[in-house]
Amino acid sequence: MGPLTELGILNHEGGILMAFIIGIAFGFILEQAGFSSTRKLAGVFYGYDFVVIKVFFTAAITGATGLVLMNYFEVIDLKLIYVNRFFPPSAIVGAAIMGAGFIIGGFCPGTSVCAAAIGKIDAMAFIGGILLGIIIFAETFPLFKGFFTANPKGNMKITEVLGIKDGLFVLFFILIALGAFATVHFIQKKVKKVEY
Amino acid sequence: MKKRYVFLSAIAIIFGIIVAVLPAKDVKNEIQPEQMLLEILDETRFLSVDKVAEYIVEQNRFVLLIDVRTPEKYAEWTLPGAINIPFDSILNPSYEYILNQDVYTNVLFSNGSVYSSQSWILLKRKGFSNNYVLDGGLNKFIETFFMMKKPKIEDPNEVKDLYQFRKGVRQYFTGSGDEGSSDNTKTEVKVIIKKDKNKEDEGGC
Repeated sequence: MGPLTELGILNHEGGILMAFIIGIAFGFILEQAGFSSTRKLAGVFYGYDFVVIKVFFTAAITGATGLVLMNYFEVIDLKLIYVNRFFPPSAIVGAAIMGAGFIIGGFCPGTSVCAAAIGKIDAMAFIGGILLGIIIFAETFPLFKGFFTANPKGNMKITEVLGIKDGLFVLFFILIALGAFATVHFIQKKVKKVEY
Repeated sequence: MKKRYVFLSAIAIIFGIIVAVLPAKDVKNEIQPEQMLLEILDETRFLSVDKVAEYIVEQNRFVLLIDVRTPEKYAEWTLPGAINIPFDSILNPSYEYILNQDVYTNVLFSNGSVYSSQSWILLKRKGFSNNYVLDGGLNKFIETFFMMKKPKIEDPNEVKDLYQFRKGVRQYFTGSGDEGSSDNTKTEVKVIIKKDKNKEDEGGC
């Protein structure tokens, strides 16, 4: 049955409309979870609020379990799901820049749009910074191209590298998530509570 | 620890165990037959000779022409900027970085459409995208641009415009504004083999 766009059940425009609807729902849930607050997001780095880790890990294990089950019952064909190509050096540097931006600005790209939607000026400034970064990167891309595309690994999946079943990896991932929940619960108890 | 957390953790672990013990599905990266049928029925894989000529004339950096004929035929003549990946080597892993990427539009061509279409099917089954087929191949390309017929006076403007465009393309290839023959006599056409300026950029990786 799915993915709907890959199998031609939903055309390109339909896919865009679906993305728009899912995007609205995603933004709504982010806002409801308090992700439009920079203090809440930065709390992960200072140890007084781990709701970001809890929400994202919960989303990841729910999504992963659902996908494996849906694949088994042939509701979706996981082989048709697009996997981004992996370039290790640029992925590592990109992750470091993303992390630095997260702690400095208090937002990630999605949450900044979410916060700007409820009128937060700092979020609008953050989006301006993102756009500026995109323009600079695009204009100077020839300088980085060699590094950007270095050591290509193709459309790599971690389960293919490890040679294990998707389901087994999901079980490991659930255990890692539960371990992370327990650890952050413990840290949060030790760190002085911050009111905001 | 709150009972709620223990309960939710237990549910997560139970689901984790269920998905871990489910039998593995076929993990081949090949496209499914139903999907392949849909792809074959979709004729958007064909690019017309006019479209490809437009790419050549405007020297589009994001289009890569791929001649799937034999190296001997390729050495005789080909389209400007085209690279050679012979049909029998189309699945060679050393060409994967060219054929499986999302930056360039690959246009596969042969004398007709048979070998290029077969190449496309093989690449599609491998799950590679961004590959297209030159509709009618080189035969149609030559017929369209080098053996074209002058439009009649009563023909609509679109036909006359198309004729002018094709005349321009012929001029680009031959450097001559000559009207050429309008009958079916075959004229030997010398296609200029132009070295691709962006050769080092190919594949984007």
